[in-house]
Amino acid sequence: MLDPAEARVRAELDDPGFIAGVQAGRWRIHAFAFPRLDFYIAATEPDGRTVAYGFRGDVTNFPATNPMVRIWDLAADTPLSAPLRPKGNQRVAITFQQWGDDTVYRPWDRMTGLHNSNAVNLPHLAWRSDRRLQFILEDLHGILNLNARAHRLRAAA
Amino acid sequence: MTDIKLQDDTDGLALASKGEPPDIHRIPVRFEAHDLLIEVTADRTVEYILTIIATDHALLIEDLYIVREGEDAPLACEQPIHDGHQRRHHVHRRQPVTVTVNYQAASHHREFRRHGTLEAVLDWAIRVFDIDASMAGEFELTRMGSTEELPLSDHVGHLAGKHDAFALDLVRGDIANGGHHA
Repeated sequence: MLDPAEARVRAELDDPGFIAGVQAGRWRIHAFAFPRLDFYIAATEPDGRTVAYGFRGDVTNFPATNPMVRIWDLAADTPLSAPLRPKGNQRVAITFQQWGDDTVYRPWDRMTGLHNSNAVNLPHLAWRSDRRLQFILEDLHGILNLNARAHRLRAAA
Repeated sequence: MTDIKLQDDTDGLALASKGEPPDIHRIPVRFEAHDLLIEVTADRTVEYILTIIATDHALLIEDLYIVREGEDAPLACEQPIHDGHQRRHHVHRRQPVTVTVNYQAASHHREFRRHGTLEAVLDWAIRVFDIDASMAGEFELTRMGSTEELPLSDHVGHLAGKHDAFALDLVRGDIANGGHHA
């Protein structure tokens, strides 16, 4: 019998909003072998190049338990080394910093939410069981493309 | 980091595993922030989607229009729906929306097309509030009085719903506190 968490994740991967993100080139699933979910998210580098970063998620007991997400070198099957992590402003640097648990440093993440009471202090960014995977993908996509905004605005100035 | 384009050779897991008949396509459609999948055959035109939305919401087809995700021009009613990619189709009411953005003690407003993105609103707000481009990445939009940051890919029309105006706050994007980033 399918684990309810796996069934829920599979259903969410079939959501119109999730599919729209795939079709728009914002994200895509690399592999799903419950509870492991590997995915890519499109990003804009400080020089304006469009690239994609890999992530490894753990969706055990989803959605009651927060997903845990690490930035991951999916080809080498290791955490992405610090020099290769996304560059940009402070929000980018903090999100993808190497820290004790080395998950993405966003309050919705299972480990970051507990760390320094981030989930309590920032409830609008914390995980709730009524959230969907798309919330995480949108959040990471937003952070990974902050460089694009600065580029656009400088070009328009 | 990988130098790949995600829109090439990529399908969602579910898209790839459905095993549906090849002549039936499930088209993602968004109307007033509600997402649905509409099954269509290759011969269906844009009018088919408009008819479904208009019927469900007691609206007139002529009061609605459709834009494909990533495109700027509305689709003609007689145009085929399926474009080989199953991109999301956004259905909007025709009238534009006046968006007010509040930042500190000031406010500015401007009319936007319903298929304008919140990213376009944010770009405009950063310019009109004279925020330096180097600081642009620090800001997000929330609904007025809320702290929930809005996804910038969403369309103005989906936030407006049946209304012709709404207000947003321009805020500093929050960052988690801690780790040991140098």
